[in-house]
Amino acid sequence: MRESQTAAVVAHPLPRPSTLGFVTRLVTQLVTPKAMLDIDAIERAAYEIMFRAAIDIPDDYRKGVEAMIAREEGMLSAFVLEAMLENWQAASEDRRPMCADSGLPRFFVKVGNDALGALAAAGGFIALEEALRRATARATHDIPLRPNRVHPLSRKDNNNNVGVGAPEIDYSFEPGADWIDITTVHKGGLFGTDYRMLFPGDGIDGIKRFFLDVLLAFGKRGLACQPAIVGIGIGGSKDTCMVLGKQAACLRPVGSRHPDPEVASLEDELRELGNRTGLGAMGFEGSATVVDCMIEIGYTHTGGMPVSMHCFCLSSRRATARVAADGGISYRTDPQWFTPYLRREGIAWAGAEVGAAANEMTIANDGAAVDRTTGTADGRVVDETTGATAGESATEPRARARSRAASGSGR
Amino acid sequence: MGERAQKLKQVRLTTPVDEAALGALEIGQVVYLDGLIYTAREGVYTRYLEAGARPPIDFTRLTNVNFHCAPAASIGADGRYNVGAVTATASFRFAKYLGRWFAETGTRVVIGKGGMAAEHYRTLFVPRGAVYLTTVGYGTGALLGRAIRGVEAVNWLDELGIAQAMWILRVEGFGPLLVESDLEGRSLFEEMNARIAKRVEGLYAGLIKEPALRRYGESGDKTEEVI
Repeated sequence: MRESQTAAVVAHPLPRPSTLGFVTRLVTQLVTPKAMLDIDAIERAAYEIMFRAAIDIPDDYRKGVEAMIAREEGMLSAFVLEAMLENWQAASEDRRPMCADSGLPRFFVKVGNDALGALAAAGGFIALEEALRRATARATHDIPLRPNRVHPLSRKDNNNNVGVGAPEIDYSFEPGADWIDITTVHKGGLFGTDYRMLFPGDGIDGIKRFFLDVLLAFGKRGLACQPAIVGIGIGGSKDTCMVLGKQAACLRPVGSRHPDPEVASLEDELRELGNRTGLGAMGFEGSATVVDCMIEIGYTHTGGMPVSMHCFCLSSRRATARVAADGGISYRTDPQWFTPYLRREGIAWAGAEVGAAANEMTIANDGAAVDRTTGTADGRVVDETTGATAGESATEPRARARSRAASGSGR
Repeated sequence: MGERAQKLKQVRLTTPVDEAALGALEIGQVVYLDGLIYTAREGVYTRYLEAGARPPIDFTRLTNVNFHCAPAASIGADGRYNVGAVTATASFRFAKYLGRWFAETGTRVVIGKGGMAAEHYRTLFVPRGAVYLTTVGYGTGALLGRAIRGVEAVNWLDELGIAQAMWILRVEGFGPLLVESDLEGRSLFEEMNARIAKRVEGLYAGLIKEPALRRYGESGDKTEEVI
């Protein structure tokens, strides 16, 4: 029934031979934006990615695990990973979920700034959120997923993964885009996640220590379902620190690197360190623990260095749909969540020149303080993370700032 | 089957698993099961042991294999069960129920994720002649789901919901599973942890001794476990 309704909606704006049809279309286009991006398309897309996420392991993760099997010397650990390859194949062949703990299904929605008119005409964010909740309930029943979501105290289960605050929907926005990206992530959540408030004096060593602590705590017996995509959030406030790490684990493909070279090199370093713990799959002797390490950062309190860590498991389930302005839907496994816009660092503002001058003074006095946002003479702001004019000169002072943090001098 | 699996000893067991078959199991062997198994997690234990309820089907006559699991399943309008994938959940949380559970149900095989603390094998499993099989991965939900031939019954579905109800499943070639603990209470995970513990000190060499701000209850001994 839903499909026939959908067909009617989609058929509506097609060219019609009659003059009356032409006038109708013209009026429709004038009164409402070119709203072919309808709510049924959004619900169809959300329903489909629930299936894809639950059933088909993303290629980037599978290839990462295949590379680990080739290197793995622990026989039991290698046996486990070979069984996982068979499992993913069985899941895709049978169209059944790869894992019965189908996690806590949730959504990440990126709305193009130029899609707002079309979305508003289709019912806006309220209609979108209802569509995502309907898709969750239908897909839970039809795939089927395990209805994991329960009331935290009464343990009431609606048997559809929908409830208070469930599924979560996170938003981000993209300039100059007329599409809506919907990503679903199905991640378990009982083990492998932790948070710690570190301080600048703890330095990079403190981050490594925390990283090893969490890997050993949850890697034994394979509670973290490793080898995992380890996501680490550094900075922000406590809540955003958790969100950054979670999104790093769930929304970046294996092999991607943060554009900030200092962050990227720490990603490499932690991945190598994590694979030297002696733990393999299921906590058996071996080396397969970290398929890849993803770090996201946010500016934080001058006195603190909060860190969070998250392990996305042997069933790293994510899938993305792009609903285009014309209603077309395309699918992929890379959410493309962390865009230069999302990682933006500066802002053009009236006092930029004053700010820049103050920075120069600080640098002259201290030799170590760094502000990554640089005002230019015409008031534009150069954002290093976008690479617009990021020079090698910027890396050097940052390295000094890092060694300063590591040596424990306070701020 | 991957090439490394060929080097491990493989065993086929039929449920209810008899004494001779249990006695022949050694840690690290690969096991496949045929017959009936039942699922039980928090909801089942509390309802049975604490609320004193008895399920409508006497599962203790059918099988002695307890699977710590909640399936990814749904029930159609016609009442048919659709079981897609099954994987185990972490078992250590259920230790407090297992002493009485073994005594009242005659369960001899526990299938789960991650095993139990070593002392629980010695105090709960060995006296009752029970072994622990761990699922692989985790988790091989699609492979285990494929091995389900039918749903014999679902106990307490209304009371506990799909995820917590007791599912009685008929399986064929259900695996791979690994023998984590045998009748003597030896533990594969314990042996692995002991080997890995030798490397832990070196792993932390050169790093700061402890963070600026400590936490209550924190252990500095990384050879310890958190379960």
